[in-house]
Amino acid sequence: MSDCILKMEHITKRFSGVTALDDVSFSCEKGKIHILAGENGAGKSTILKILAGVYLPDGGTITLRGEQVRFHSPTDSQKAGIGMVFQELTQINELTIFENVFLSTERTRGGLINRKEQLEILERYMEQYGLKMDPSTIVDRLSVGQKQLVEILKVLVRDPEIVILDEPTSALAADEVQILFRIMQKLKEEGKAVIFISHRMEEMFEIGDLVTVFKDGKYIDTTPVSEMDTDLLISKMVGRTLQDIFPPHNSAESEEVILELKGYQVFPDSEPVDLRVHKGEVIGIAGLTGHGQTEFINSLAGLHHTAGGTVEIRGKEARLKNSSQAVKSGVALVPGDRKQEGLMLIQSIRMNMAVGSMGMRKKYGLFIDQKAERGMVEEYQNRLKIKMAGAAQEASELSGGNQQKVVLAKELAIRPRVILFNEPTKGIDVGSKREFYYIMRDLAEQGVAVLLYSSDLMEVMGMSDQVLVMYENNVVARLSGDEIEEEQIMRHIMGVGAEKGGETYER
Amino acid sequence: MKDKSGSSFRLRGADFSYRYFHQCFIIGFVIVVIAVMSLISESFRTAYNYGNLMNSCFALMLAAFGQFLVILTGDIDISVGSMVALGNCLSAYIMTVMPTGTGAVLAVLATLAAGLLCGALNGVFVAVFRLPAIIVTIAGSAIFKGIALILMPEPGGTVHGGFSKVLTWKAARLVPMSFFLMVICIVFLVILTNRTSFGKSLRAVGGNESAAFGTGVRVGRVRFTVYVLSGLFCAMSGLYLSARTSCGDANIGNTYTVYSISAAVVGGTLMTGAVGEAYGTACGALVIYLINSILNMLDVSTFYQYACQGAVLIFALMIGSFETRRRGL
Repeated sequence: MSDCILKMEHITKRFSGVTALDDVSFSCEKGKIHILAGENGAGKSTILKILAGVYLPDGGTITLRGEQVRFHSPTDSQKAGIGMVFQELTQINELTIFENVFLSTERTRGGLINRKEQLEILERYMEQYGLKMDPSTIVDRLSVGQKQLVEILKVLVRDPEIVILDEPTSALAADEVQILFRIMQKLKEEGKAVIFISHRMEEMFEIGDLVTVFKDGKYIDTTPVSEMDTDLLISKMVGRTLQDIFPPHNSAESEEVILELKGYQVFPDSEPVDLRVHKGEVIGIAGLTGHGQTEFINSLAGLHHTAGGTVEIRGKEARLKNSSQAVKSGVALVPGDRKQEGLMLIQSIRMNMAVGSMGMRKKYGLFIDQKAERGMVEEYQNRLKIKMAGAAQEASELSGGNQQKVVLAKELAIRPRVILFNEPTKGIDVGSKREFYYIMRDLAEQGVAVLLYSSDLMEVMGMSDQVLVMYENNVVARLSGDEIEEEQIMRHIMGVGAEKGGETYER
Repeated sequence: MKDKSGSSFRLRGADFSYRYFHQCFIIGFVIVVIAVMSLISESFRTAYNYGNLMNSCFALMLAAFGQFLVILTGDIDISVGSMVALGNCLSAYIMTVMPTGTGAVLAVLATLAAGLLCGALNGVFVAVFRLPAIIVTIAGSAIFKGIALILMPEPGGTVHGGFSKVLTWKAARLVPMSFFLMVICIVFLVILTNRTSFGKSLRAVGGNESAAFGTGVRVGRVRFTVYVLSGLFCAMSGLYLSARTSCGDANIGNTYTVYSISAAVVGGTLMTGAVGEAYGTACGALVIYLINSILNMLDVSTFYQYACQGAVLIFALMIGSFETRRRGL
């Protein structure tokens, strides 16, 4: 195709053994809006970050305007005419819009910033793309959506030929989305190539020209949007089979309620949630990254404010205002990032395991009971089958799976009644995953309420007796039994739920 | 967002107060204190006293300018005091050995070069080897103080008369040289930090280093330059002290590190970086000496003066945190 401006061929990228992109090819044309679709971890962001110079590919070629290129840094990519609006904001809060937009591309005259010229340029761009902002506003005072628009403005001023937008709409309000769409339409008319990731179905169909589907780090296909519909798109994005690594569900239903949420509200504008977790049940939470799942989990562990509602654990109301209250109430959290939030990497395994429950092993009410601590480490080493050289070994030396087991041991040591898992199997091997699933199931049988959030849909489906699907900070669906099925969950995740699809778009 | 009419890069309203509230407050505070003191005390409102106040705080002001630049990047320079002492001792040493006019010129050049070198040393370790600034500058502090002590084990030496005269000259026997130098420094720094790419980069690094890097700011270079400038300002401070005291003293900078931080913070520079202005820092330095001067006039012991300065620092930080909380951060 003559309009083809960018070609990425046979791109492969591995992160410490895990293949994120497997021989992926992708191309885009001038004057087209190109949508990338796929589940979490399908490789969409990875390929764009390669294009933006954030990652170097392990294999494959990038051809830009017929020339083969290689980007070693974001600056290389910017110079080649690629502008990326990242998911995370790259602004300096303390500076004004004006200062942020021109950061590192200041127009100068005689060594001084030419503010008049900059202002003219800025006004021209704001007019051209229909943005109305006061350039002298300090960015700190803007809403997240407005910041996102400034971010886009910052990319536009650099006048790129290819504009990449990685999920920009997740933070935007409805009217801001319309502004963004106008900008994209304008860019398209100017003959620029636009690459757009969104997880909202209706946005894809509203704005896109072409849609490329990725699945598990592989390229599936590219179709014109006009030939695509929701069902077809979802069926392309899903379609994996359950691996046989999940333990059987508990058959005997228990009436005993372990955890009960009444009118529970994490965000002021989210719908209240009622939830009962019976003995033996595992509750799965599904949703795309950033739709409030982590906040939901963290709020139960006292790490995030709640807006309302009560929590009862075994019939007693629990106060969960901070993490020490949560621990006292018997709530344990296996956090999402074990290296940052779960472990003290340079400390010993023993120290890591013991630190959460030190108060439970005291001698004369003052000193640490060394013998009991050693016993505790040994107990969990056997119970969780942790492969380690000894209790004194540094946590950093363990493999990912074993590190995660140490985190789990630390949490189990407080004898929890509720245990929350946030992405527990991220970056660990299949064997360890399987062990984790059996441990979770075992905990549930013993009467611990288990809540599991995972971005891996298979995991949620394989483990859960009930699945809560979250979309834009709300629980939009609650599935159980036969309803726990991939296409069904995927619909709700994308905000096109069969029953309540319409109302979830109201913001 | 405000309406588009009169779109400008000049800050107004809440944006203005976000950035300049503290500066305005401290300037107002200095003016009020001087006005009130001048009204109630006859000995305060003498030309001699004003000049003396300016002269006595100018050395600290210079060091505080260096500190101010480092704090804008979100770091801290502990070696400020030692670099001042080194500047003082080195210049006095050279002028003692070579008591001629050439010696004086040489002393000035050598001292400025030494300041640049000290700053570059700090800068290399912070920017290139990426060691934490506080540790690097503590180590640097010890090294520079050590060299100053080697040069001047005991306070002493002499200073070239002409050199001393130039820096302590008073226009119309009224306005001291230091006042003009201060104005030059402030103008230079205001332009540097607000009207150049370097200045914006400086604030960007202090605001959010990784975001600045992602935008294309050369973070390492900015960091390095800032320490070099800090060294340069400290060398000037040392030179000024030589002219004023006519001798070298390796202990002269002992209080300068802490006072320079106080001056910058009292003057509205955020310890987290990005926000602050040079004139605020100048006022901050002035406040410290004003308080000392007032307490001296009231015959309050030096020991209480320390306590008083601590109170002022806490007060300044409280204004800052009050502002932050008002913004709901």
